[in-house]
Amino acid sequence: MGHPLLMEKQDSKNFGWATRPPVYTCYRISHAVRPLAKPNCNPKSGPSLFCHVCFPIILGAGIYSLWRSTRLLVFTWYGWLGLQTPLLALRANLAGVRHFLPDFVLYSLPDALWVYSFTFLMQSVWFRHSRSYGRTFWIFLPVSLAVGAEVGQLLKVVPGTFDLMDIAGYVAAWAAATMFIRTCCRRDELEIRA
Amino acid sequence: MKSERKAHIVSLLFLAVFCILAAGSMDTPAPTGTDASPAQFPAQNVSAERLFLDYQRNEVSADSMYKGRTLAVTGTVSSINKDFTDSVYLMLETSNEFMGIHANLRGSEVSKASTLSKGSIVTVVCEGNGMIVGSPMLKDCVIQPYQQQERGVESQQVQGSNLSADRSETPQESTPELAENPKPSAAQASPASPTPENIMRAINAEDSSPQNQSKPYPVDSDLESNVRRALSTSKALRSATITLVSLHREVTLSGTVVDEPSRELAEDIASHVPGVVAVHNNLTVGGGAKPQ
Repeated sequence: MGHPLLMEKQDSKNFGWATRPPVYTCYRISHAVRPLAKPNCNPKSGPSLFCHVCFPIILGAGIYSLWRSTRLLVFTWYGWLGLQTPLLALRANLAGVRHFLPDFVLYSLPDALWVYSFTFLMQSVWFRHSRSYGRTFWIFLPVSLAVGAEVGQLLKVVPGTFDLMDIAGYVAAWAAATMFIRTCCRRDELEIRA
Repeated sequence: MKSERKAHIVSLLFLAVFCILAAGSMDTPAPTGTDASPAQFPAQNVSAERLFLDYQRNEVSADSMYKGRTLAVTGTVSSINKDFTDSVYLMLETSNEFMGIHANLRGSEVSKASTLSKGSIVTVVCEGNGMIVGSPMLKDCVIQPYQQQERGVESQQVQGSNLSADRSETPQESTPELAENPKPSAAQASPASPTPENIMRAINAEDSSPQNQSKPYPVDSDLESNVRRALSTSKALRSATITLVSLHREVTLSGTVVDEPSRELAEDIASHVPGVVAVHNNLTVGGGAKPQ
């Protein structure tokens, strides 16, 4: 007992990794990007991609379309697709719901869902690849872009309002995507390595 | 290595897709703005008399309609002057002989101003600049020479139809209506020749006709009450202080709301009232909500 890093060493022994020298530095990062080669786990399956990639994007786009300003660029796209009229009717019917939604849901959640979806997709693409700089780059890219944009807002070089809650949302979304992809394969991993 | 290269390409494609999705959440440029020059946006047509009366009735609501906006103001020149900085300005006549519309011209318009004379009818495209000591102010004005000719043509319609020249309807829209349903007016009684006096008399007759005098904004008064009624049905806006005016079926909301969602809700509600063609949302958030 004691230092949490020693716990990692102990866990390694339990899983039969005693021959592998424990890495004490940057433990958390290496944990997140560690390649997971498991034959029975496929995050690229249709249901998995729909639940973790398409659905968050649809949900985020829905929040933007229904309860955010109609001055957004996405409404121009809806106009091109001929969807503006039904969408405006839907907005009018659901306008009252907006007052039951907290600010976090209206302003931070859609972008956090974007980070979640993008991170999960990148994790899926790089799922069976060995650890490399390229893999690390792509897996950290979504959260880096989102946090970078937020910092840009703080420095007034990107339009929008800086909000710490947004950053918390991005980091939580990135962590959740990483955790989900590991959780979905965890049991297989344990079975293989036991 | 080959599979890694493939993964890089796939990742790059997904990055492009996600960047496009993110771009959808960006704001498009606002339709109107205080930093807009008169040439950038279509001008709002208004007669000098209407502008003056609107300011006399309620300076606050007139400011929300005109200040910072591009206006095409038509009126009779009462004087062409220079101020203490040698800037040229026109005074346009109103029903009050001691008060006029003060139109400050751009430097490039001085030569055009020198060709004008007292009593000429002009249209100046300017930016509304509020009211100072009872006179509505216009700045950065450009004289529209061709508008004078159009006004001459339009004047015949005005005199025959009681349609004010500051309405945004086009001659094509108004002419058939006139043929079918001509309305009697004070202007009809005047001679048909398109002299400056007759034109302005027709315009002012429309602006000050009894039916219009009884209502601040005759064309849009019903619309205003409909929007007001629609806003009052929203529980979320009960704590808000909203004033609204409607001109040419464009509703301008001003006042204070508690948060950004309430501001957008008010705009949504107003935009869905039948007959409203545009909503100018000048509401301010009083509770420190997040603008975007």
